[in-house]
Amino acid sequence: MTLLEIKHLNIEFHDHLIPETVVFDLNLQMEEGEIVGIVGESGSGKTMTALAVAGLLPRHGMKKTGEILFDSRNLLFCDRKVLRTYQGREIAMVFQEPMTSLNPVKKIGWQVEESLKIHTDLSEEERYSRVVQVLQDVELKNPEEIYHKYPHELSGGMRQRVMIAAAIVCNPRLLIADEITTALDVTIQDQIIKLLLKINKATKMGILFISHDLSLIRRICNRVAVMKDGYLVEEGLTDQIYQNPIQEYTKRLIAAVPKCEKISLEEEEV
Amino acid sequence: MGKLTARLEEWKKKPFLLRIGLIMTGISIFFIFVGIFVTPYDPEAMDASSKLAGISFKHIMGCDNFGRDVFSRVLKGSATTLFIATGTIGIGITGGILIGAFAGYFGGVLDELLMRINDAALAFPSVLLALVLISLFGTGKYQIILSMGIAFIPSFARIVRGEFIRYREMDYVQQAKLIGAGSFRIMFVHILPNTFRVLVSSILIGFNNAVLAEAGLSFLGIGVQPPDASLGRMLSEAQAYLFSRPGYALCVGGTLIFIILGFSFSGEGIGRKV
Amino acid sequence: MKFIIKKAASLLITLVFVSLLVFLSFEFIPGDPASSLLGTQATPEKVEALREEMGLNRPTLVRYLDWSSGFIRGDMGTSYSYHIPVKEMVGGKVPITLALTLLSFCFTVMIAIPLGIYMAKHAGGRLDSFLGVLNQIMMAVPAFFAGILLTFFFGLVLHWFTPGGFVSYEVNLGKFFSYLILPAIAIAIPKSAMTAKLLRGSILEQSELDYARTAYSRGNSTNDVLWKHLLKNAMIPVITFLGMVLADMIAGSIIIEQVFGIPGLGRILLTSIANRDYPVVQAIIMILAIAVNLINTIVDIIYHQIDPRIKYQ
Repeated sequence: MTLLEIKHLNIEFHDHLIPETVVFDLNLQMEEGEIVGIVGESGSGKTMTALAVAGLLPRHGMKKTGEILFDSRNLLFCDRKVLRTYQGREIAMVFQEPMTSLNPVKKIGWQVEESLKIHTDLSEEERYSRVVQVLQDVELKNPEEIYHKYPHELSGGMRQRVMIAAAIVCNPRLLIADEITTALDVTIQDQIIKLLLKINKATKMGILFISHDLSLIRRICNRVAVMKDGYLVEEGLTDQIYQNPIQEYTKRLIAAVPKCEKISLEEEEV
Repeated sequence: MGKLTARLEEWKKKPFLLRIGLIMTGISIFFIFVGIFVTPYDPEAMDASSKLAGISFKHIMGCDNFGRDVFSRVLKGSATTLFIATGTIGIGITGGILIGAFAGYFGGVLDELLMRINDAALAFPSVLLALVLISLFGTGKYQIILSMGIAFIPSFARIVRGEFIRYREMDYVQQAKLIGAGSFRIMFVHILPNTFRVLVSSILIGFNNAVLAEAGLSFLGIGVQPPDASLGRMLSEAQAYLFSRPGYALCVGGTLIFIILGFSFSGEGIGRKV
Repeated sequence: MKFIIKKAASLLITLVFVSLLVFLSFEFIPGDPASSLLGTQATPEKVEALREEMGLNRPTLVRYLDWSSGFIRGDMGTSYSYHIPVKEMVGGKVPITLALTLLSFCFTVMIAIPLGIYMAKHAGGRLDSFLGVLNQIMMAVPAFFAGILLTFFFGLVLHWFTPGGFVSYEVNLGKFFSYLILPAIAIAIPKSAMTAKLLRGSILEQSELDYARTAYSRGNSTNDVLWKHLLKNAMIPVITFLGMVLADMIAGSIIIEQVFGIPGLGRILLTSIANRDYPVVQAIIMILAIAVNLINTIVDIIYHQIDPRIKYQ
């Protein structure tokens, strides 16, 4: 079954003197429980696409056309009140910067619990046990203790787990992960990827995984869309694209992924 | 001609507030400067026949209770106010740089001692500190400058110290040390110029505060003494005739606000530009 | 708790320094209080006798300890001009200045916080720009000129009150406060303009941060994001500023008391400065300094309660 369908999406910024189009006629479809990747350099429009799906584009200074269909409803132009019933409950998002994406003056528990408060009628005790459960699900040790901590008391990797916990607490059908591992150490990157795969397997949650790192995309995504300068240049199954890229740009992108080979001295000197 | 239009274009690009502020400040400074050399009447000349005269073509701001022309006195009073504010900031910034630089650069016991005294002084609002100092030095134009100047030192010292602490660990300072530059050279040649950006905005704010503080102290009668005119002093005189001649107080107060607004708009405009 | 103890200790140390500063500044005054007290009748013998009587011949340190320990016990010395205990002169005036300062502060908070939130919510709109300019003008109005304008308008044009009138709090508490309302508004006008501007900027700054976007992504409405997420963070700098404002108001009230003819601490301070009545000046300055420092300490403690990050710095 189709989870998300993006049709002819155009995003144009108007807050500068010259209008700047950041996404051109983008079409993308995602099935229930699928992990789809969007890969591209910074400025390619991938984050704008993600924000559009999450309903987080700024309200002023921009023009947007097209459709983002979720439950056969166009989220791009629906009422804000309706949109809010989707945000956090059906569609959740995790951001790039774990250090700044959490509210510094609120306890972790409060922040993870927030979506439950907004979208469910659960009692306080039920909410508490759900939060502890979900903190456990993201493999945080001592969830009861973490519940009462503030963001600055946790490491970057732990904060990103908290962000994931807060996103999946309502069991959304779509999780948008925007460069969530970029700010983390490589070893922690690996753990987070495994965690996402585990969540996907356990809950059949669809994941829109956005990254500039093709090797990460290859590990986690069934399908991938390649974006450049606002255009979707190529789309297909990850392995297929990786082995037989059609577009010149995709080839270059793949070639740019560092391989785990020893770099010879001569090359380094150049 | 082309040069002029280019200038005009450049001027139009400046933020609206900055333009308004600069125009207002320009007007104030122009009038004050002209007022130093020539005023419509002698600011001290009393004319019994025009005591508390209203606004007219002869006296555009009317006359005070001694029959002195208010506009001429406003010009002279504004000049005094600006002179005092400039002197105050001069003392405040010099003292602040010296104390802040030594405390920030050397740190340790010196820093601890200087900052303890500084904190104790900062514990007073600057007007209150100026009051204490005035009770020591006495009243009058130069005493006010000294008192307010000293009262303004602690806040500048705090800002400068913070900047020096920030810069003293920087690579280029360490490098200067390596090539054998002396402490004084590092402090005043290498570090000080970097603090100017922060200092400029605090000087603009400080200038406004100094104008306000002088007006307040003179209003209380412990600032500038007669025959020196000052906007604050004139306001306190005008207050007595508020019922019969409200225009007197309004003109003097309006001038004070005009000067302060000019500076605060300019400061705000510069802030937004950066 | 540990933090509060630490803050209280640093308050004490600062107060010791402040008292030293206050005491020593008056040590360096040119002229001898004994001879100026005696005025034209001063003969060397009489001056010497008075110096002995006033304890001026003892070493500075002894006199400092004497003065400060007296102050702690509530004995603030004797006025040079009126020959009565300073405590009697000053004691009854403290509630007046205190009431004026607190009332001004309440007005400031009551005006500034809703105004700042309103301006932030409608940032970029026409009303916001209008309020922004109005705010800038209000900031430029010195409190004492605002006081004069208020006196003129409400006293002389509308006849709502008698300029210069005052009722003591011991006579009628309600009337006492009614006479403080306009002075408090005069003090509050520029201060609330500054506070509102700071709060507006602080809220807008917070709304640009990543965590605000996170809050939206959970389905919070704009109002919820503002009230539940941004406000507490935005208040952190505002609280520091309000502490400074309150301290400043104590000094500002001295001037405003003069405009409205309120017989508070300010008036005695001014006459004492004019009369060189140093024990009174010392006592008032010390009282004000204690008040200001107490406020600063309380602000630090509140700050610490709101911002969890401070504990670990």
